[in-house]
Amino acid sequence: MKHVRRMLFSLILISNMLLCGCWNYHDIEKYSLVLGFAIDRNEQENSYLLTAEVLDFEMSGKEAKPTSKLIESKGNSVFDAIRNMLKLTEKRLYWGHADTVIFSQDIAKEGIIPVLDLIFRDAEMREEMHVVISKEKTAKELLEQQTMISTLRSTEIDRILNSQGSLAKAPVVEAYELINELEGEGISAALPAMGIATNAGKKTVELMGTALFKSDKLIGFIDSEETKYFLFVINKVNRGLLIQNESPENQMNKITLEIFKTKTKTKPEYYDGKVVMDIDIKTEVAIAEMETSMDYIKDVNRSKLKKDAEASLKSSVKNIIKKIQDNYDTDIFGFGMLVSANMPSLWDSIGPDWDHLFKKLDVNVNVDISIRNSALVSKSIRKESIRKEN
Amino acid sequence: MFNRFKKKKSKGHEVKQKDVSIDYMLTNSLQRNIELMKEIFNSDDTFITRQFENMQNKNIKGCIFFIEGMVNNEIINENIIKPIVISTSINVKNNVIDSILQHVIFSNSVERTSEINKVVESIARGDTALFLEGSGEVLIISAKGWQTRAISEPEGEKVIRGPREGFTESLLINLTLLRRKLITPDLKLNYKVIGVKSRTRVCICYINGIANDKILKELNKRLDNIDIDGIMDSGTISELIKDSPLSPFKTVGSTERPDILAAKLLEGRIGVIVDGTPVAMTVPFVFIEYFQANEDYYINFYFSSISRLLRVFCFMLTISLPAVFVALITFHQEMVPTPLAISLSAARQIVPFPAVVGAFLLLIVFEILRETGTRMPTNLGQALGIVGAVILGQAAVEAKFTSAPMVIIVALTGISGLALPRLKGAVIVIRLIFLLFASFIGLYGFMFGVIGLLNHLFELRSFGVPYMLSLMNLDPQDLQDTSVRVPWMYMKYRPKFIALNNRIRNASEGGKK
Repeated sequence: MKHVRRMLFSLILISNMLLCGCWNYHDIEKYSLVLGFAIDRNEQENSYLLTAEVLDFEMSGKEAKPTSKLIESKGNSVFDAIRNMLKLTEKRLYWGHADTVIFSQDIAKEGIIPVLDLIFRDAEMREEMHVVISKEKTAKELLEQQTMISTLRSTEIDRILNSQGSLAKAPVVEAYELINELEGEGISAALPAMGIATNAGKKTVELMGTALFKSDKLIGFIDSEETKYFLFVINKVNRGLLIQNESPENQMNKITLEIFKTKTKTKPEYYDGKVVMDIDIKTEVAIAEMETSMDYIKDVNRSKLKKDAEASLKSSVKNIIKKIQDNYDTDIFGFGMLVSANMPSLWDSIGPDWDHLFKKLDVNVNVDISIRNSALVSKSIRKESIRKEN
Repeated sequence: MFNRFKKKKSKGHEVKQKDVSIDYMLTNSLQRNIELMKEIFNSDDTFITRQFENMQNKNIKGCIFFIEGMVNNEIINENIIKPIVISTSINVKNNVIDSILQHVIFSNSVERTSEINKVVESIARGDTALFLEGSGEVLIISAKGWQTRAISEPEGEKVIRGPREGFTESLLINLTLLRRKLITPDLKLNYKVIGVKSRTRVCICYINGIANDKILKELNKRLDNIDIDGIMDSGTISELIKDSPLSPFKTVGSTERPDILAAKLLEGRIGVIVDGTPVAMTVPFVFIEYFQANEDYYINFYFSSISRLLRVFCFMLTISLPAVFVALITFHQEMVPTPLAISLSAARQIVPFPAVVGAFLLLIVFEILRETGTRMPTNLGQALGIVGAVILGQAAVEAKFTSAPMVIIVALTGISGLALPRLKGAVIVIRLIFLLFASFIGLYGFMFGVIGLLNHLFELRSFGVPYMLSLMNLDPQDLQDTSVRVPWMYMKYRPKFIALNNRIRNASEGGKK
């Protein structure tokens, strides 16, 4: 009995060791880490052009300084292009640390599902990779531009996207979220768009709003400011700024409000055979900067500022929804998904017709802004003459 | 697992010792007896024979035997030879030996015997044997006197707060040190003799009513089974009596401090003090005792809990760090954060050896340094530091023999290993096995190693007590004194399994709450 048990035990042990997927000892320096890559499409040849930014080291004395190099490779499929890179490099490329993928407009217009498949299927590539759409002609151009601070282009793009939390001017979408949106009913994808800009004499990469999709095809772009209100609707704003004119008459003096906490609740309602979306935005802000010397500690002034801010945020949000409905007719807000989640039976009947309904969907926007504080000061800097007046 | 390899004692194999009583018999003739003793101790120049007779009655002849250097000359001169030589009151009519024992000799410990074996052994132990004309019996007078080391703090178990005394090489001094801590007639001290040639005296100490009788019986049985020529240190005995003799883990505790021994006896453990060594043994020994220090009970419980958790953490670190590191950089590169992956990759450019080979080599180098440090004379210590730190560390990295992260990992491994000096042997073995596993199949292999280790630890027993005592039954009472120590006022019970009957150890309420 004891022998049988021992045999069984060693059998399980050995088969476990041999059958696991980890039989691959590979020293880290034998790999080239891919930091990010761009995919372009060559229409004439019907092939993909893959440009990978690969970690490289500059040996300066005893120290190895990380820099990067671009490797281009063509192939009939994305994976073919990846494998073809072995024609060029001695080291195997390692894709587990690639955190950005850039698609060209061409690919996006044709549909991004075919190129996303590899990222989704492959064991090495991460599904939390950031997906970016190039606003330029090709995607590889973005990787060719200079960096501002770091030495690695893709890493910098990744960090720009990660710091959108305190700016809220681009949707940050990871590959798995994109795939969920593409597969989901009643929602369309929206991806951050990036283009080339010249900054302080350097040609570099900048975030330029949002790329809008219908199904998996690119249909247009909206700019950064519009993106912010789009993010308000889908409840993706963390921090950010709201710029408010002092009054409709005085467009010169601006008050900057910093968002500390904001929450958007969207609920579909069904009246008289019509679907209405109720959007409730609750925002907590603080006065961060003032170009005027108005005393906002006073209740009257403060409630006026609150009302103005609420009104302008409300109209901006309404505008962007209207714009999307009229110009692009793609449900990037996921209203359809909300209907299907809240009223499944209704969705069964109106779902097939949603594209048509979305265009004419009524939207109620309620904004509630509460002003929390005015940072470290209660009074603005005032000229003496004004003080005397008061 | 390791029990399996224990061989059964084959019959016919035993250590032989000459039994003097077969060849020699004591007689009534002093002259014959002297010749006999000289024959037994022939070619031993330290064996001293001193004959004398009474001033008045020349018939009262005597002779003492002792071994030079092991006796107190003053006692022999003043209390044995002098009284016999000058005494006038020796009653010759009756038994001379009785009269001398009762009226003449000034000594607190005299034994009367006619067994030649006993006489020989007593002389060898440092007693003085008095032979008298016309008597077949011998008086064994205790006049031992030799130099012992002074009581000092043990080098290996230093404390900041706590008693500074440590055991010495003398069994009797050690027993007095223990006795002074536990002033109760319940403290039982039983002698045993182990070692056919060394005849080492061993003392089993326990507190009657707290110690578990079954463990005591088992200990006695195992000690009786020892059949060896000599015992130089308690380590030999502990290896001979421990459970799972091939396991790298100790199942017999050891300490050089009387306060630790006394505390363990109070918990129901049984101590064994061996003559000739300052290291006393305690049984049963459970795993958590590796992480306990006597100071933990004397200082603030928050601090001692932190120290204990640190020791446990160090143990985990020292066995798993090289394995996990190698697994991460050779199998699971995706698990390393990208910036770290970049800097690791940068550090490892042009390093000639694979990561696992580098790790093995550096670990071995560290062990070499440690071993040299223990064995070499202290005045060479500086040279070792220079060689270790500068040449092997810095220069090896600069010469690209190895990478800086690997040196850091191995140094951290080594340092955390030093936090647990008593676990040293086990740790080295486990660490290398884990590293080997990890180098084959990454973290998966490492986990196999961990499972194997836990299996082994949970399988171990020390004198019938589960080795992972406190982890097997998650009873809050038993967990009080494990990887944390609760305040004394809450530690009311002795550990289960060890002290079976008498479990309440502390009923004090603590100060004002």
